[in-house]
Amino acid sequence: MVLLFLLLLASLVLMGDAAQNSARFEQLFLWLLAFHGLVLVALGTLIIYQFSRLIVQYRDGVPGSRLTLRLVAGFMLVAVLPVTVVYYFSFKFLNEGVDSWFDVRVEGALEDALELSRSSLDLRVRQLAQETQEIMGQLQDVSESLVPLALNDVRAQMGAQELTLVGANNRIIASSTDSPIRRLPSPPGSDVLLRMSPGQPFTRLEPQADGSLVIRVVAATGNRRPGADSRILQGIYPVDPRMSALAVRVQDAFVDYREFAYLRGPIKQGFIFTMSLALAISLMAALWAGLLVARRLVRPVTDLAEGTRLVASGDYSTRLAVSRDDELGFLVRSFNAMTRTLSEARQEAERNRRLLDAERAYLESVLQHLRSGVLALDGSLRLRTANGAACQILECDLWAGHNRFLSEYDGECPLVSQFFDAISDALTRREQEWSREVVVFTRTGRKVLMTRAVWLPNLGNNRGLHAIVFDDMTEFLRAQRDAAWGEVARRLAHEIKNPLTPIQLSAERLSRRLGKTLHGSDREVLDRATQTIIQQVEAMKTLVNAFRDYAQAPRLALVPLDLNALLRDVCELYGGVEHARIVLDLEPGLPAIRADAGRLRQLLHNLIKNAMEAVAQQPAGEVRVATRALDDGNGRRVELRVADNGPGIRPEFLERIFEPYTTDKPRGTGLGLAVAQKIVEEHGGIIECHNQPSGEASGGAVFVIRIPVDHGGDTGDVGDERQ
Amino acid sequence: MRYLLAGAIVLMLLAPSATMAAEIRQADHVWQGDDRLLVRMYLDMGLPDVVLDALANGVGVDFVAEARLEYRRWLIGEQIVTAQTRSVRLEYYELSRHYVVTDHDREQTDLAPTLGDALELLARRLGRMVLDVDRNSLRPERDYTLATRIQVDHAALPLPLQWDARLRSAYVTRLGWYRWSLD
Repeated sequence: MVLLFLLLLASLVLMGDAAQNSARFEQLFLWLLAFHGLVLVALGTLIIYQFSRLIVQYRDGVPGSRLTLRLVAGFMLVAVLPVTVVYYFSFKFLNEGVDSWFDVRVEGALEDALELSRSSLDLRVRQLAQETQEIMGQLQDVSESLVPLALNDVRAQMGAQELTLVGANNRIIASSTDSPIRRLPSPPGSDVLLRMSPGQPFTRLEPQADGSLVIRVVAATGNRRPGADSRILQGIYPVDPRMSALAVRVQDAFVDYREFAYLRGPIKQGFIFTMSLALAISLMAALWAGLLVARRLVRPVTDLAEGTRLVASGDYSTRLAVSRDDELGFLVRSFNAMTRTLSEARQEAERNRRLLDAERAYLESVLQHLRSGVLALDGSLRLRTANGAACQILECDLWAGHNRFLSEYDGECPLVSQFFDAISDALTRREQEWSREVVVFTRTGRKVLMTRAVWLPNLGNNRGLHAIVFDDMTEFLRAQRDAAWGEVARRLAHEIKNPLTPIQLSAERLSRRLGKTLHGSDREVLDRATQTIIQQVEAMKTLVNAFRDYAQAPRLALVPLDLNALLRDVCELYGGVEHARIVLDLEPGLPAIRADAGRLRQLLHNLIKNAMEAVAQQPAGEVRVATRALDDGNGRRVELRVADNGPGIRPEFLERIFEPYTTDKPRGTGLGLAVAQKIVEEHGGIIECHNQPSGEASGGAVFVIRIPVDHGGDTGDVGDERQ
Repeated sequence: MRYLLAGAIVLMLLAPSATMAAEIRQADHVWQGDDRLLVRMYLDMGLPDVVLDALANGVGVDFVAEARLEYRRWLIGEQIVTAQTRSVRLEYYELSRHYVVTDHDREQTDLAPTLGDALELLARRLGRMVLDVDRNSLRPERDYTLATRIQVDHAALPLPLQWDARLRSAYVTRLGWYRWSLD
């Protein structure tokens, strides 16, 4: 750019120089004009291109374009205003100044002076013409031999430079000159002869090479007809040197003045053209420079704006090039430092977030693998966290209701609702740490949840957090009870059965010995007493045997078993019962199960007998026995349903129906269903009991047993593993 | 940008062409011996109004006649064998009210009372030029051409008129080359 400016400056200087030097102007003008034209076109193209690009950027809202446009407008204003003012006054000065060089009075004076000179010279010409004509008259009759002498005399007398007498055919008769060496006599030219008119001598004022003037006079005798003996006298007379010099100076001044006046238009045009060219180039160069400078000034700001936009969009890796050492450079360096700090902070935050995620994943993994249910509730009792065990225990997809209030699960998840009702008072009070046993009721019975909770006031964005851990203790408690009952049964069997036989034998012996000695009423009392003892002992034996059966786990002989066939066998035994009938609904092709036939038969007897007793008071007692195969996601199993249409089981018994000594029958041992549950569990199955909905036609209780299907494993005795 | 370029080209095409109210009506040549070739031009002299105006206002106008012997070479163009120029000045002499025709080469000055006479003198002075060329050195297999033209000598004009002559085509009083074969 600097080179271009220097080039332009040099070309303008050359242009100015050429404007004052005619030869250089001829050499350089076209080249300079072409060069300046090219420069103007190039600058104009560049400016138009830059401006159009700037306007497009301005319309597109490119950062920095508005500022650039303002700067350029400012530069333009600063450049155009003073230049325009200077141009205007220069233009005015040229127009009026050049015109003021010319004055009408001066021009008139010069014209008058020239006219005066002409008049003086014309007077002299006329005088010489007359004198020459007179001399011609004198020489007309002089013989040719005397003419030279006469001419010399006349020339000397007249002060002429040359006198030449010409005869017919333009032949020189005689000639006299003041300087025979320098000047040869010459006859009048054809142009002179052609312009001669009869009786009128030809006169002409002729400038000489040395600037002096001479007067040529050509006079003829009479009519110059071809062939006539006529003579022509040509005289060349010098003008007085002083007068000649004055006249020439006046003429030169007049011509110069008129030429100058004539040229003032082109002079003004030349000046204005040069000035306009310089102005146009200067303006365009200033505009271009303004564009470049504006872009250079704005570039850091544009970079900063773009960098800020990137930072706002989350790109902290943006670094701007520092190309200046001024305040803008300082700003760019500060921006880079800021983005570097932000980037490092973001990386640190990202690392922490990953660590947190890992910790959270680890914690969630631990939580999911816990067999204890874990819930986290915030201070407003919204659910924050729940693990899989909690969902399983509370039989609800708690994850789907993340961030809901626990109270909102009413109806959707009844266990959750019951659980919340049981613990809400402690939660509301925000007790620091508490534990309690919560009992919830399901369709298949009750669940005992051992619940512990702590209140963590500083967690959960300082809104506090309830951490609740609970375990389903139902199975544990039942197993505990079963073990206790087993121990009781075993001790009963051991402690009670042993004395029973001696008691029975003693009673029999008493009856035999004393029966012979006693008579009458005594004998009857004895017989009745001993009989009572024996019967009660038998009853106690039966009871003890039942306890033994419950307490002892016989060795199971597991074999593939057709449950339907076993059911038909068992049910056939009850075919003679009058007060009830058994309806079999057996699924054909039921898969075999692995079971001990004897134990399973006992199970079936217990259930069917129980059902038959339940419908004993019904007018149309019915026991429906149904089987089917099912796959409920926990493997293929065979389901057995024993339903009656009796009064059902009282709710207070329902939850403890499988516990020993739980019966509502006046003569029941309360061990039948406990034994049934034990047999089912020995076979890896489950047993449930519930009342059929009262709206249904059948009503009554339903026992549902599900036992795994035999997958073709080895048959054999697995009693040890099923203890 | 394209529109600007197109506009510039159109302006150049529409600009008035260089005209001069003078014409080389005919030209021929005569060998003067074997080493001089006289070139004769028969001119109908006339001048543009702006030049006449300049003459009337005291500006002297120089005319240059050029003659050259050339031949064409393939790819290179015209090759000049010899060339000659002649310069004649025409001006108006206020004191005697005559036009002065000055032949700079012959140092000869002629006076003419009218512009017509002056132009006739001018045509006579410019219409004769002698080229120094050895006739025997010319190669017969080449086609030699004689070329002549007449133009106003811009460099001899007053500088402001040169500006005007450069910027206004009316001052450009150049004639194209008049060519004829040497044979």
